[in-house]
Order: sequence, then C-alpha cells, then structure tokens
Amino acid sequence: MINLAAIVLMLLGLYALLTTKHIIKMVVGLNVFEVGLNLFVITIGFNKDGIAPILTGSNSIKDFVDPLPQAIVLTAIVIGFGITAVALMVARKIHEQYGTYDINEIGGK
Amino acid sequence: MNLLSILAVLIVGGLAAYLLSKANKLLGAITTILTTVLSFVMLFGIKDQIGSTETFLYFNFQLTEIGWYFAFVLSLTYGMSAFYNVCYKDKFMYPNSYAMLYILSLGGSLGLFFAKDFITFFVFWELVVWTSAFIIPLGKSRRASFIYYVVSSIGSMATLFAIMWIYKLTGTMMIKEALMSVDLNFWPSVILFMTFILSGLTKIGIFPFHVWLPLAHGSAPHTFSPILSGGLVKLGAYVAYLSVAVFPSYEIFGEGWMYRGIPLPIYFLMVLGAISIIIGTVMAIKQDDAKKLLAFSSVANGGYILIGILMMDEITFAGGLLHLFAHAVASATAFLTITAVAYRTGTTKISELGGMIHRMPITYTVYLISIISMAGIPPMAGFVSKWLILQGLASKGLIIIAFAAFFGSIGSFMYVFRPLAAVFLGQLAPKHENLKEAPIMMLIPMILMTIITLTVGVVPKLVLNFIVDVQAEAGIKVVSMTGGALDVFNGYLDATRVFVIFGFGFLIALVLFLLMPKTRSVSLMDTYTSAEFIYTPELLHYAHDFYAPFERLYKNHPSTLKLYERASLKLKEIGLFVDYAFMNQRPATSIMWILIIVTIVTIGGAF
Amino acid sequence: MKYSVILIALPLLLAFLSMFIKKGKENLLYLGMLINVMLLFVLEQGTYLIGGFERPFGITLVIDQYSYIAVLLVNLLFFFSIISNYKQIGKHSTVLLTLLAGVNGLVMTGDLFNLFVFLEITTISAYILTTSNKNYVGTFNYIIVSAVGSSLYLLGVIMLYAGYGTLDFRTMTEAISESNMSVMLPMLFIFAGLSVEAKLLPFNGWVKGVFSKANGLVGTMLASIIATAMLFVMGRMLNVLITDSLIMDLALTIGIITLVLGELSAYNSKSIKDVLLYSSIGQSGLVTILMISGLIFPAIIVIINNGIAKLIMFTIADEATKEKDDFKGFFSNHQLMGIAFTVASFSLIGLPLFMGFYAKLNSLIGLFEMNLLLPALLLLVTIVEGAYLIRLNIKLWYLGEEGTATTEIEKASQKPSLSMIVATLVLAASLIAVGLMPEVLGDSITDKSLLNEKQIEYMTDLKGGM
Repeated sequence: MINLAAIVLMLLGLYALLTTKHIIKMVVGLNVFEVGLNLFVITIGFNKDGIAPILTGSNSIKDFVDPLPQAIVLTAIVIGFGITAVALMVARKIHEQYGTYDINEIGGK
Repeated sequence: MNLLSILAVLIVGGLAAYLLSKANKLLGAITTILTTVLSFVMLFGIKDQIGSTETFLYFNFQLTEIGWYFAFVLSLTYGMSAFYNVCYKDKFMYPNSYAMLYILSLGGSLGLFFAKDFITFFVFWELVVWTSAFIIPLGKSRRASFIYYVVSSIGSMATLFAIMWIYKLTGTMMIKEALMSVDLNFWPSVILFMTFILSGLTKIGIFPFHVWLPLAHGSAPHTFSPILSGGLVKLGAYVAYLSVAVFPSYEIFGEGWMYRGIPLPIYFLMVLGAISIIIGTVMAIKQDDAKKLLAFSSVANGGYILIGILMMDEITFAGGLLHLFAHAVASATAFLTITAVAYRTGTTKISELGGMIHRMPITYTVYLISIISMAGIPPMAGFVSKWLILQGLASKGLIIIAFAAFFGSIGSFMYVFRPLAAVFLGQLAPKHENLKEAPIMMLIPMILMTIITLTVGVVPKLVLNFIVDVQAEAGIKVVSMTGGALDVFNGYLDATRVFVIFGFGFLIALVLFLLMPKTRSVSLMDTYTSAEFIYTPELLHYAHDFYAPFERLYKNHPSTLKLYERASLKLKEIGLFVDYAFMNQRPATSIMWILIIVTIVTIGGAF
Repeated sequence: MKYSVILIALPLLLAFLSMFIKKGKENLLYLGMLINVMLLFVLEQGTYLIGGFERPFGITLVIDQYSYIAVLLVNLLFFFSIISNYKQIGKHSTVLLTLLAGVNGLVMTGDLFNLFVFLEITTISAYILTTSNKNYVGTFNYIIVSAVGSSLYLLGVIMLYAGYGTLDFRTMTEAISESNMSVMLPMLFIFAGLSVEAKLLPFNGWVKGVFSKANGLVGTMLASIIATAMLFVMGRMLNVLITDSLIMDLALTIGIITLVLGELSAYNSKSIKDVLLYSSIGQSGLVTILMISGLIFPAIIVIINNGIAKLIMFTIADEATKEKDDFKGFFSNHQLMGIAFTVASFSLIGLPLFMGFYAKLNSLIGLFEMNLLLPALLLLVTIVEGAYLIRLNIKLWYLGEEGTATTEIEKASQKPSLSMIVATLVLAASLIAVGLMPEVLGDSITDKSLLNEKQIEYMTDLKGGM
C-alpha cells in the first residue's frame, strides 16, 4: 500500500519538475521526488509483523524488518540534503545574476 | 642499400630540413633538394633487388616492379620541383614545416608503394593525406584543404572498410595473399571491389570526386601544385592497379555480364573515367586562372590513366602506365612554368598576362614542349602514351570510351593553347616591361624535364622497359617491341622515325620563316575604334574570354561542388536539430525525454 | 590490496582537513594527488573486503584487470589535469579532493549501492566545480537532471535488491543468471540513470550548458576524468549486469543514435568547446556500442584515447579562447601547444601512427564479426569527425582571408604556463608512442580473457565487481 503512495509521490515530484517555471519550485519538486524514492526504499524492507532490528539476546533474527534499506535511506536522505543545498545556492546566484526566478525570462539557452 | 635506407633518408631528411630551416632558410631549401634527388638516385641502386622484403617495427615492405615504377615517377617529380623551394622559401607562413611536410609526403608515398601488408599501406596513405592537407592551406585558400581532406577521407574510409572486410574473410593482412584468396558471391564482390578502389578514385579525381582538384591544385602554394598534380594523383592509380591486377577482378566478375570482354563493374568505372575526361576538358577550356586550368587537365588525364590501367591488356595498360609518367612530367613542367611566370609577375590570371615570350623565352619553350606532350602531339612522350591508349580502345571496340578519349585529345589542344596564346604570345603589357627571365634555380628543373619529355618521346623504349617488367609481374601479355618500334594490331609506331619526320618539317618551316618578310608589331592597347575613346581596353584584349563562343555552349552547367555543399548543409541541419531538441537549458526537456524513453520501453517490454 | 582503500580514504581525509586551513589549501591537494600517484606503483590486483565482512554482506573493493586500468588512468589523468591547470584551482581544492576520492571509488567498488554513493559524491563535486563557469542556469539544469538520473539508478538497484536480497555485484549477477525472473524494469532504470551522467542521448541536455563555457580545469575534470570513470562504470554494467535482451537492444540503439547525432552536431558547431563537447558525446555513444557488443578491449583503448585527447584539447582550447573569441591562427604563436592539439585531434579521428588508429582498428575487427553495417557506420562517422577536426585545426593554424596567401604572424599577447606545455606534450607523446608500438597495450593486459571478444565466457572474470 505504502508502495503506491511512494510511487505517487515520485510521480508528483516529476510532474512538478516538468511543469513549473519557478526555480525554487523545481528544487521542491526534486525533493518530493526524492522523498517518494526514500519511502519506496523503506517499504522494500517491510516484514509483516516485524520488529525493530535491534539485537538483544532474546529476539530471533527472523522477526526483524530488513535493516539494510534503512541504512540506504539514511545515506540517500543525506545525499538529497546535500544536493538541495547546492541547488539552492545556485538558485540564489541565478537570482543575483538575472533578478528573477522565472526560467522563461532567464532564457532557455 | 635497401628499401629501408631510402625511407630512412627521407625521414631523417625531413627532420633535418625542419631544423636547418629554422637556422637558415636557404640551407633548409637545399636540404630538401638534396634529399629528394638523393632518393631518386637511390631508387636506381635498388632496382635489382626486386622481390626483397624488409620489416621495421610493425611495417612490412616488399620491393615490386610496379612499386618501383611508381616510386620512380614520384621521386622524379618531387626532386625537380624541390628546386623551386630556394626561390619561394620566404613566401610561406611556416617555411620550416613546409620543407619537412614536403619530404615526409614523399616518404609516405614511397612507403605505400612498397607496402607488403594493408596496415603499412594504410598508415602511409594517411601520412600522405595529412601532410599534404597541411601544406595546401599555406597557399591561397583554407577551404580547399578542408574539401580535399573530406573527399580524400571518403575514399580512405571506404578502403579501410574493404581492407577490414578482406581481413575478416581471409584472416591475413598481407596484400597479395589476402586479395587473391577472397571468395565471395557476385554482388558482395562488387561492393568490396567498389569500396576498395574508392580511395583510388578520390585521389585521382574521377567524377564525381573531382571537386577537390581545381580547388586544391589551384590554390595550393605554387611550388606544391606540381607535386599535387604530377605526383599525388598517381597514388590513386596505384590503388586502381591493386584492384585489378592483384585482386583478380577479371576472374571474379568474369561470370557476370560482360561488354566486349570487360566485366560490367570495371566497365562502369571506365565510363566514369570517360566522363572525367570530358568534364575535365570542358571545364578547363573556360578557366581564366592558369593553375585551375591545369588542375582540370589533371582531372581529364586522370581519366586516361584509369582507363588504361583498368583495361589490363598489353597495349592499353602499357599506354596507361606510360601516360602516368608522361603526364606527371608534362603537368609538373607546365605548373613549374606557370609558377615561374607568377614568381616574376605575381599573378596567374591569364587575362592579366601577355607577351611573356619577349622576356622569358626559355620558359616559353619549356611550356610549349610540355603542352605538346599533354595534348598528345608527336614527337613528345604524351603522344606515345595517348596513341597506345586509343589503339587499345579501338581494337577492343569500346566505342563510347574511345569517343571520350578522342574528344579529350582534341579538347586538350584547345585548353593548352589558351595559356600559350594568352600568356606567352601576344604583346607585353606595359607593367611587365622590366621582367627578367626566371632565375637559374627554376630554369634547371624546367630544362631537365623538357629534355626528359623529348627523349622519351623519341625513344619510348627507355620507360617502356620498366613497364614491360610490370606487365610481366602482373601476368599480362607484354607489349611487343621490335627494335624501337611498338607493335599494335593495326600497324606499328616507330617513334624515332616520327621524330625525324617532324624534325624535317620543323626545319622547312624555319627556313620559310627566315626567308619571308618580317611582321610589324603594334602596341597592345592601340586599337582602332572609329575615334571612340576606350576606357577599358582590357576587355578588348584578345586574351579576355578567350573561348567565349565555345563557352556559351555550356554556360549553365550543373556543378558537382554545389551537390557536396548541399549535402554538407543538410548534415549541419541535423546537428542544429539536435541542438534545438535536446540541448535545452530547462530541466524539463531532459526529464521529459527520460520519461518518454522509460515509458516506451516499459510498455514495449510488457508485450 | 590494502592500498586500494587508501586511494579513496586519503583524499577524503585531506578534503576534510583542508576545510580548516585558510591559506595553502592547494598544498593538501597536491599532497593527495602525489600520494595517489605513488600508490599506483604498489597497487596489486585483488579483492579487498572492507571491514572484513564476507562477500554477500559486506562492501568490497575489487581491482581486476579492468578496474586496474581504470584506476591507473583516472589517477594519472587527474594528475596531468592539475599540473596543466593549476592556475585555475582557486578555492576549489576541497572539492577537487573529494572528486578524486569519488572517481577512485566509482571504478573500484564492487557494491551497487556504494556505486550510488560514489556517483553522488562525484557529481556533487562536479556541480560545485561548474559554478566557476558563471553560467548558473546551466549548472542548475545539470543539478536537477543529474539528481533525477541518480535517483532512477537507485530505484533500479532497490528493485533488484527486493528481488535478490543482495547488493554485491558478483553475487547479484550470478543470481540473475540463475533465476528467470524478468528484470527488465530495474535494468532499464539502472541504464537510464547511468546514461544521464554518461552523456548518452537523449538524456544529456545538460552537456552543452556546462561545457561551452568551461575553463581548462573544469573542462578537463568533467570531460576527461569523470567521463572516463563513467564510461568504465557503464561498460561494467552493460556487459555483466544488463542481460535482458530488450535493454541490450535499447542500449545499442541509443549508442548508435548518440554516436551519429553527436558527431553531426559537432560538425555543425563553430566554437572549439562546442565541437569538443559534442565529440565527447559521440565517443560515449561509440563506447556504448562497443561495450554492449562485448568488445571490451577496443572499448578500453577508445576510452583511454578519448580521455587523454580530451584533456589535451580542453586545456588548449581554454588557452585559445581566453583573450578573444576568434581563435583564428592562434597556433602560429604557440606552436608547441598547436602540435599537442593537432596530435590529440589526429588520435581522436583515428589517423594511423596514433593511438586512436589502434582503437579504431580493433573496434572494426570486432564489429565486423557482428554484421557489416556497424563498421560501415563507424567509418562514415569517422569521415565527419575528420572533417570537423581538420577544419578546426586549419582554422587554428592558418591566418589570412580566404583567397589570399599570408605570411605575417601576429605577435603573441599571453604566455601560457610551462607546466601546461610540458604536460600536454608528454600526453601527446604517449599517444604517438602507443601509435607506433601498440603491442605495449596488448601485452600489458595479462588477463587474456579481455582480449577475446568472440566468446562470452570472459564475462565470468569481468563479473568480479567494481
């Protein structure tokens, strides 16, 4: 179920990237896309009736949810954060140079 | 002394010329002369080693009769033209590189004539292409070099395709073994044959690849045009030889359709050669620039050579190879004379010159003899070769090609006469009153070449001996000579006797000329116009628009060059489209394309 | 083998440290670069298990014959690029160090997710480097498109993980070949994601904006070093991981389209950098075609040739267009640079006596085994390549209006740095050296399976990972 929500989020993000003119909104769209992706990754590791993957003496490994996608998602979130930071910095520079955030006015070429 | 030593001399000489030129330009020019002439002389030293092989790094060489003959022609041309470097050394943007590239292109040519395997052949072929591609822009036009390179590249890549295909079929790179063991059906063999010979066609300048010749030969530096016309186009003839003599094309195509004993693919190429003869002749007649005129004449003569080599019989083949030699000498000499005139006057446009005979009589004589040879008039070498070709074509019954050849012969008289009459004869323009004869450095090669043309015309046996060796190596019936006369199917040609008869005729004409009253000369611009003032006397000068009535016949001819330009423009439009459709600064465009591809493949994969 | 980790870890450490130093950051850059180059001499082939965790669970760094060449090439190219363009480093030392770590990791890693991480490190460093172009819209475009591409790649990897339960490259390929689940979709995503960075059409809309104003350092970093690493990665993927026939056909088609359209666009371009960037696109297409056909050895030579040539050409192109946009006759004053540039162009075209000819020859021999059309296409494209590169060279060497001969040479106004001249000439000499003695390349590859392009069994050695 949550898979579908994740995919919908990804598609929403791509839709935003395809249709918006405002540069900051493009960054937002990229972020939504990445959130969707991360959500999708987590759902891969889902295990019905699973418990948190913390090793204590009494738990059996068979009941854990998969910890690997969680590690992957942590990395991906950080990477996404880095990209967003760089993108916003560049967007600011664009604004300094052109005075507008509208990509049609900046010029497609 | 062996093959490798000649190549070593050339490579070392090239580098030495570069370095010495940096120190002293005269020294560099002299090094050029010495290196090229030395290589020519050394060739005679290794003539007896025919059949030997050498290896260096991964190159393999083998001395063959045909390779020796071609090397002989080329090194003669290079050696003679090198003398002009002394006078022209200050007129280049890169004089040091000119000397080095000049010698390296000769090295490349010799290397490919003696190549034993395809890789060596291709390496040296490309060496010649890019060394000459960098010499041509030293002249008047940069665009000429670009077009030369593109057309040459079309040929080279086609030949590379054929070579790789042959390698895949036979597994060997050695030229002789690989070509002999190709085994394909008819149509693939035709494609292989056509792609293989394509580099030869582009190099000789056969229609429709002749577009680069007038541009390159016409705008190249004056001292390099003789090489281009007399030397480098002969490289194509070597490839043509490989395609019919070493590659058993007559046997492979022998089962297909034949026309009077010649397989259809080969006949098709001969027709292309015939078209080149006609186009070259006709375009040469209307040229105003002497160098472009000679360049078109090279197109025409290239057609003769191609037809001769493709025939592979005893008479026409000998004629083709002899024409190779005769045209190289004659064309190079003609270019050398025009260069001498340009050196003194600063222009090659025919309509601006006139009356050079009064100031440069030796140059005039040299030019006269060279054009007599080019037009195929006895007693020069060009007559013997053209006569052999025409005899062979007529005896086989190839009407259309024979017609083209005859037309070319007659037309060639028209176009060689134009510079003669307009540049040398006539009256001297006032601004050229103080000209001197060409410098001695230029006179030496011109006179030597003239003597060679005359000698071979009188005693063609000298060069035909080499050709007989080539024919024996290729397995063709040898042209038979009894005494000094050549035997053909409807008679024989004794060139010495012809020369003697001509000599008598010349003497009689000379006696008559001396006995008759003299002419009265008038000044050039002294024309009579019923008391009208003339403001543009140049237009009434007879050299202007020399063949106007004839030229009007084909004034609106289509141009192959325009075809090339249109094709190039279409390719550029595709590039522009890519720029427009994909290279956009909006992220939306690229993301749209990604989604399109992903969606299409996903849906397609679902089926 | 332990040195392989240092190749990645050291530049990262130095990058971190360089943040604290106000002045003299470049010294750390030089230090890291030199140590990396020296480590190359003691590098051995083998697998290194990071943290000691065994195969299907841990991350490995694999150096087999393929990645050994890649590591050598990437580090050496980085070295030469820094020496040639040291004047343009500016404040970018930190980013350059992370870039070095990133590309080393890209070619050495054996784990799919690790590849994603290194891919992101490399591209983020590239984003920051390209800001020095002052063309911010181009950079922004690059960021967005590249981020989407990498995310697509991650999506593909996660789908594969969901199916097979491992992220290790070798384990994954064995599992895929044994099962018969359809893996078309994840392979499509992986291919699409990597193609964005590898400059294949139609995913490469960002290339023009980033490269057409790139200075020497940025141009060489992106076009030579990152491109080389990405092509090696792409090659690994295409050969081993992507086994679905639909995706292979797609890759071949995209490769052909990229090659043809890239070269034609280069023919259409007027400025040097535009020509070079389209040529890079074309070469990526060529490598894709070769890799998907299984011709690994020719593809490696093409990548080496392209890397070296583009480094030389981007460096010199930047010099040529520094003062004014019209570069006509630039080499008449800078003959040494001209010789290096001309040698690089000849090698790119594939003229004999240069390394490019060896690459073309091997590619043709291999392609002829498959069908007759592909080699014909390659040769036709070579004609176009030759046309625009020779046109460029003639314009750079010769002055004078069309129709007149000229002999005068204008005086030079700027002097390029000595290190640039030396570096470019050394690289050009290497192109000629391999051209004259190509056995050097062939013999140095001890893993003979790389040379055997007719059989499929070699893939087992290549599966070793990245």
